[in-house]
Amino acid sequence: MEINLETLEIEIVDIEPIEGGVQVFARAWSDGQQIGFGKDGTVDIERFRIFNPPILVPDENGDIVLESLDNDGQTQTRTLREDLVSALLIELSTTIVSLKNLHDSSRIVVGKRGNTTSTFYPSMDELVAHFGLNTTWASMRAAAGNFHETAINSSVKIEFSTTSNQYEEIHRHHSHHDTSAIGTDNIISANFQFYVDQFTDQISASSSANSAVVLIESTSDSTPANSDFKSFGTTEFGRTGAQNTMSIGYVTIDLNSSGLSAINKTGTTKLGLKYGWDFDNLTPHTNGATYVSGGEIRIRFYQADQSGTSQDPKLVIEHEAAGGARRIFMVT
Amino acid sequence: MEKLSDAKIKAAEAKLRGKTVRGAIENLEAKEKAGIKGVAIANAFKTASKKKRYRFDKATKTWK
Repeated sequence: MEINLETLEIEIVDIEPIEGGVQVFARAWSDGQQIGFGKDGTVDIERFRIFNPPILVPDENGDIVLESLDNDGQTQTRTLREDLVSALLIELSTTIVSLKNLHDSSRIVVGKRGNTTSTFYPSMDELVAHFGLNTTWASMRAAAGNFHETAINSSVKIEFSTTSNQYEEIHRHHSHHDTSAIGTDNIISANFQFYVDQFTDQISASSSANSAVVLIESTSDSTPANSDFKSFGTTEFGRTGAQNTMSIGYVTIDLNSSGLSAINKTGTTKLGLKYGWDFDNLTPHTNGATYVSGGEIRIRFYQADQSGTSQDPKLVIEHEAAGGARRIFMVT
Repeated sequence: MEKLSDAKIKAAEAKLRGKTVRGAIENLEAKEKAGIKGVAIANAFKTASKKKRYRFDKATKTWK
């Protein structure tokens, strides 16, 4: 079913606090037609659990102003307001549109409650980078990190230096989520979402397939550090299309079977992001990018705020209780 | 996932009393912060209208 975010309506049937967050039972409509949840579209009321839920929403007249210095020295400002109701509704709406199992209303069984969609906001996230000077691509990728940042923005980025076909910066991202609440449930599907607030392309590369953002395993610990620049696995969990196919707002990457297997049902799921060139080890200036002195390509997105905003990165997981063995009764 | 006990909810609400949520959670451990936000959000919807159909209003940029 095609979901129109602009006409989405949500009814909160019930809501209650749970350990680490809030649980919501909700119905939803798109273009006036009720959405049937679940694999077969028979679910009337879906259960959503949000861990470490957001409470802040963007508002240009808001009374909460967050400022930080971007890595290029520019001051970045976000203006927000505290609005618990709106923050939850934005969270639900962006989660609903990302779900795999959305159907029209034709098979809804009135009152039927569904499985669970859980949203996990980061327990830790960070930008990690290496800043070099007139460095080859191979040396940049192999270098130790010399920067990390946990404030407002993170990004994936590649920047050329002033020497032809050499490089100056690579940015990568870590995002850790406490997914222990999944427990023994079976995972049906999952996606990772990050909220982009700015795209930059000074090297004519955003139409290249290598400008995709690749979701991979993070192997860093929970303490942010420069050395986390190298703390990534080698298995791909999913990727976006080319940069010019993305828009400002949440960008969603569906987890493949490797990604689903990597979700830690009793602890922390650790995810990372790199540009396609970086993950696939393809030298940008010979694989879709044009050398420009000091030129860069970058996707900038919000990191998790301490209090939680409706634009924080999130891991959304659809799961269901593990079924017991089928029992057959013979009646004579 | 178990529901919070009544005692824990009362403790969380006591911490919120007289403060904004943001102010109340700033100095707390991550797990405690998350739990308190859950209590506050549930209470906010009980104060608003739980059964209402909410829709995003583009003009005011709020859910109504």
